[in-house]
Amino acid sequence: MKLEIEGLTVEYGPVAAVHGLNLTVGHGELVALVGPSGCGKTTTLGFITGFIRAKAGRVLFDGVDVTDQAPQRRGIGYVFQDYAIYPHMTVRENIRFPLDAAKKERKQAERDVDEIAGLMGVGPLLSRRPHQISGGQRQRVALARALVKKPVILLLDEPLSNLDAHLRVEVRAEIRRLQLDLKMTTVFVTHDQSEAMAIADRVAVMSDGNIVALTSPATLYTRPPSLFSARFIGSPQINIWATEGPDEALARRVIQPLVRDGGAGLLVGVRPEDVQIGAGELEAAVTLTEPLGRDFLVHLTVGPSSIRVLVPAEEGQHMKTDDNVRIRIEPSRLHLFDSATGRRVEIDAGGARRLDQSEQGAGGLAS
Amino acid sequence: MVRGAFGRATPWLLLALPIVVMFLFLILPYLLTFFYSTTGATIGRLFNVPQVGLKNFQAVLSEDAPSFLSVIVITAIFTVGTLLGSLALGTGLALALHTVSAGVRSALLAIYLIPWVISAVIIGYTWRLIYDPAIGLANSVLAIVGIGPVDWLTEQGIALSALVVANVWAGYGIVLLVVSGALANVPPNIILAGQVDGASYARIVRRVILPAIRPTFLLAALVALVSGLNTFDLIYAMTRGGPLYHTETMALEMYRLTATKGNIGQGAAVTVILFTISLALAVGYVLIWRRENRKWT
Amino acid sequence: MDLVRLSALQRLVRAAAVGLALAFAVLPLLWVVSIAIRPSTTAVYPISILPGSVTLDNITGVLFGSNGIGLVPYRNAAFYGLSSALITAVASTLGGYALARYNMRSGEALLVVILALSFLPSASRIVPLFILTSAAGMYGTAQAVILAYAAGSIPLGIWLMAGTFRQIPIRLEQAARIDGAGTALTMRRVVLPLAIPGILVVATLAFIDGWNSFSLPLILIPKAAAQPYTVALQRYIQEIGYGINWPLLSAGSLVALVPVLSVFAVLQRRLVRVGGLGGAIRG
Repeated sequence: MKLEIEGLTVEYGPVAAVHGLNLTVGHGELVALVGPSGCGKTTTLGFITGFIRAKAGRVLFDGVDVTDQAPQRRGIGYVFQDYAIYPHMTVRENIRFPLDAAKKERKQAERDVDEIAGLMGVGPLLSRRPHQISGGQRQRVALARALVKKPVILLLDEPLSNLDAHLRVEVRAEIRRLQLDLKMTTVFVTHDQSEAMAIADRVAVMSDGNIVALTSPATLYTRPPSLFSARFIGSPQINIWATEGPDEALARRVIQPLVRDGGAGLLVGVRPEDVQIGAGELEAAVTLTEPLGRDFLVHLTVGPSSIRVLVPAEEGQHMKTDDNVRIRIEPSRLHLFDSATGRRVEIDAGGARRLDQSEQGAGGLAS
Repeated sequence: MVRGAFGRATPWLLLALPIVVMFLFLILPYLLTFFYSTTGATIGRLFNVPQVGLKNFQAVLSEDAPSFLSVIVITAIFTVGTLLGSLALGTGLALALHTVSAGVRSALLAIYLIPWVISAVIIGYTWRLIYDPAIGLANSVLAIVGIGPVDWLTEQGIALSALVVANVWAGYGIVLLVVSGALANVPPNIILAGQVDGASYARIVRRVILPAIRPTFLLAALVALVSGLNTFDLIYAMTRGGPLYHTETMALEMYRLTATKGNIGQGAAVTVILFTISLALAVGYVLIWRRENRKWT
Repeated sequence: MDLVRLSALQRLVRAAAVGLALAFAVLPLLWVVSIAIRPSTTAVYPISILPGSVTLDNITGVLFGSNGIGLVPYRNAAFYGLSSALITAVASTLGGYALARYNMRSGEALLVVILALSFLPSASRIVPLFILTSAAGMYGTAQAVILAYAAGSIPLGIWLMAGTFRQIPIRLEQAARIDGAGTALTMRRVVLPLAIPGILVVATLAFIDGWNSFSLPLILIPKAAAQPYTVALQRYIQEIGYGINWPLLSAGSLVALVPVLSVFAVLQRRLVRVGGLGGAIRG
């Protein structure tokens, strides 16, 4: 099922939670809605489901306007953040509930329940009650209930936030495999950018009620269309220096090979993993090293500016505070943004600027 | 836990005041009632009373006018009628209010709860006025549609039903209050989940909401039941148990035997019977509650 | 966000139910008002639904007239109610704190027993109380009646205060002790201020119960001058030769409603919230 949202605007009192949002999700595609708390992602999900009335906007399922349709009729599968499974019913009754509501014949319904329960690995739990099973199992039950009615779209609201960290990676892979097998159009809401990057076909980065970037995970990482998405995606966070202000010296020096006009009005970014310590033209002093296991995060200063660099543990373990080292930043690894609008800036071979035109929603923010 | 200023004894010291007051003015009177039910005490003879064993109970059970059977039946009709009416009205309103916005709900709740804070005798006078054959609201409204005046409280067949209506008016408020509170604590997400699952609102109420508030609902039912059993002021103000004992519930009979007939022993016997029934209901409730709790925790 | 989306038909049914219930709740009282404000001569059969003329004579009559009950019964009821509220508040706070904070072996059982006590018919207390107070030489005193009221309100009061104190994190008290505060200071500055909403509710409910009480003062207060309005208004039922004096009785009832309804209006939101607390506690 192809999902389209047009011009969604939702207001809570005087505050606009979402304004003018547009989104298309193709048949069988998994789109992740990612952003910090309060950016409007759950509100958008609520609108697709029909719980939230919008001030303006339409939602279309395969081209049919369902905006005024009651949630009951939309055939949506929804997994709530807290799973929302019925505490007083057995697992079997929980999963069967949508089929009962559709007045499906009992024997056939039970067969469907058994089938989906098998698929989700909760077969042995069918006669238990929610309080008798673990959080991870409850989530599978919630998924089973959402899928048993063969929905036209699957909506997931932060499905992994309540799971233990080590379970998250496992479960997100399962969800992705399932979604691909069923060719299920899916919208996946999360505040964790690594989740979004790991399993989505496309990622929609949201901030303050707008989509500020909508593109594949790879593009989001290698060519982030806005300052906001560059900062939001990738951990540890990207280093950013402005060509005007206290970081001026470093910023202009670093982009010198690329630009002809000295680089006014730009924000210069480089990811910590894209900087090499050892040989290079820049002199830096180590202020702190953080062992992260496989890598070390090294904090350094170059003149008045600070920089974070990610190095393998074998290198980092030899560094100490107050060491003086040399670092190298490849011009090809730089990300440039317009300091007024936050949009990505590309420099062509001739040194001229071009604002990045790739797929994105309403403008990013120079914040 | 807190270590008190007086060590282990601290909580009991704190409880001293309430326990003493409750014991002297609440528990002791009931114990005394039990004692008096086996004596031949009368208004004229309160002390040095003779022991009569179960004679009072025998006398009460074999009373003629009214027969004990009719008192039981009337009590049952009154109590069950009040229970069903209060539960239906209170729960129905709570469900309806649950779906409106908070501001409207607050305002409506305030109005619906007014009868709950009014004195039972005043409620009695109010409804006696409503039912008054000459200037009552009931007959005035009926007159508009041409139906002749009805003797609501003096017609033997109607009086009890009229009382039930008045008692429902008095009692639905507490059910509304308690059920509203329980509904507010139902996690909204399971109600949303019900809708996403395609269930109609009626089905959601039946299969999701009501099961979720079952323990509290049963508690409200118990409270309504016991308070119906013990209703005295209202009936006293409206009919005094008449016409011809057709509204004499056990509570009224207790009063009549004690104050009018002056037989404290027999009045106490009725109290003991009433208390036993209340206790049985409360015990039944606890058993059901325990079974329910196992389902949830 | 709506919790449920209802169809037009469902909304209609809901509006009808809400409206009918509103009428049911309000009309009886409005009728009392309507009789109270009509000239007493018009309160005869057949009677018009809307009053033709309006007068305050009945109200002034019941309060100040020769056939009135005067202000004294209302003052008495207020005195008994407020005194009971005070005692109930103090006793419930002490008891509620004890049950909430101290790990008493019999704690839970005590709470259940206390609640069960409030189920007993209050009318059946009256004769034994008559006997007890006579034996103690307290019969007819204000103290006796006030304590009788309080004893009836304390069970629920303790239950509500225990719930209130359970919701105040004990960490706050522990933090205060670490800061060097003694018991008295901790109570005064940390615990009690947070418990005030609960105390207000308990006091209000106790006052309302005391203000509304009938069967207890009926037996325990023989002196007419000390009786509350609930007993005093009885005279209008028993007037010989006139049947019931509806105009004055209605006016008297109306006056009685004013204080309770005002208190209720002010504290209603708190009461509802605590009522919900009671509903939420399943254990």
